Amino acid sequence: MLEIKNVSKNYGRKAALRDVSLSLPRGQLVGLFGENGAGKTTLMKCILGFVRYYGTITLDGEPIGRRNISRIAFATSEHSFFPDLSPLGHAQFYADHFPTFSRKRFDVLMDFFELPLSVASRKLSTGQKNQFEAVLALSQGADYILMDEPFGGNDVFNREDFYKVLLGILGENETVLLSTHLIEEVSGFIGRAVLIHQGRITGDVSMSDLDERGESLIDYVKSAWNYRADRIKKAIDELDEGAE
Amino acid sequence: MRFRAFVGCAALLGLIWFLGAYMNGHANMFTLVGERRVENPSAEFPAFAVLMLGGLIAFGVASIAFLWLLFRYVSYHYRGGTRAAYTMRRLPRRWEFALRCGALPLCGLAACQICWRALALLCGLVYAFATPERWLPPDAWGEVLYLVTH
Repeated sequence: MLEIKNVSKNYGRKAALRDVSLSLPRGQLVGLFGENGAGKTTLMKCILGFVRYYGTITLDGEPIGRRNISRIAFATSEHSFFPDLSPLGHAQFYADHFPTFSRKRFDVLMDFFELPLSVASRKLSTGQKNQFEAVLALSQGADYILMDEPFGGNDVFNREDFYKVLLGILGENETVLLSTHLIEEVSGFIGRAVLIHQGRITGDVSMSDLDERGESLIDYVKSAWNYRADRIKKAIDELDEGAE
Repeated sequence: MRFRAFVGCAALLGLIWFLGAYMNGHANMFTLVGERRVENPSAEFPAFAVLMLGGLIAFGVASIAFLWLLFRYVSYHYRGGTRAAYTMRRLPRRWEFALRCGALPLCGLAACQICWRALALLCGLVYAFATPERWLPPDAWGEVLYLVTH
């Protein structure tokens, strides 16, 4: 269980996270949704220990440190591979540093995405870089896989393929925390949705609960964020009045 | 490769500078009277620190080059449209990132220090024992040792 308790983070005077608490048990595919600057990336960086924060984050009761950090993988739209190292070189590097690295999964995913093995990673296209980033995270052998907007620059078919592969290859003990704007697109693949708004968790619901209520994920998100659909009409009406 | 190149070039330049300055200083101790080359009593043999100035500059530049290398190694993990530092900071081995970035530059800086002192000692031996004693300042060996140890 990855447990986040009362985590707060400030960048200067700006609060990026405010008293965030969240539990992620093993074996879930969780969507993390929020507008730009809501705190999704910061939350992931706090989990990984990249930034200092107030509060506690534990993995099976232990603080996250060198002893258990390899149980968490990270794929980010910023990318985290070595630009001059080939995918094959990365496989070797990951095998050297992460004892649970799955070479088999790496090979299968590389083959599935038809990614070249021997060119410098910086020479991959943007879409390929995203795929490669995800391949590395999924092959690390981690229990928790954090994915921060991993599909920016990939076309819709590509993303669809990826979700299906994700569902197909994940083991029952693997948890994915998937941060994305593509709410409707992932709604059929995730099991739980966590909403973050202005640094606060504003919603946490399982997809089965939503199904039972007959509510779509996008409607749930809109209501949780107090989305005002009428504001567009109001703006257009105001413009029209001005024109007359 | 860079390691040997930086330190080797600095040592070679330092040695060439010393030998050139030493021979020049030696030649300046003489003057021509008619066609005869005689010792110039008013001439002063250069101080050891002056002869070693080239070596000091060369090793100074090599040290700066190693610091630049350290900066390059660290910044590499934030360049190329990717932040490899995220991967390095997630590694189970605590010191891996620091070692990969710092090992060579810091060893280079240490090698510069050691080689500089070795070169200064070698040149100091030449200075103290191959130079006629009357040309040397009063505490020439002390000056050599000061440069070697500081």
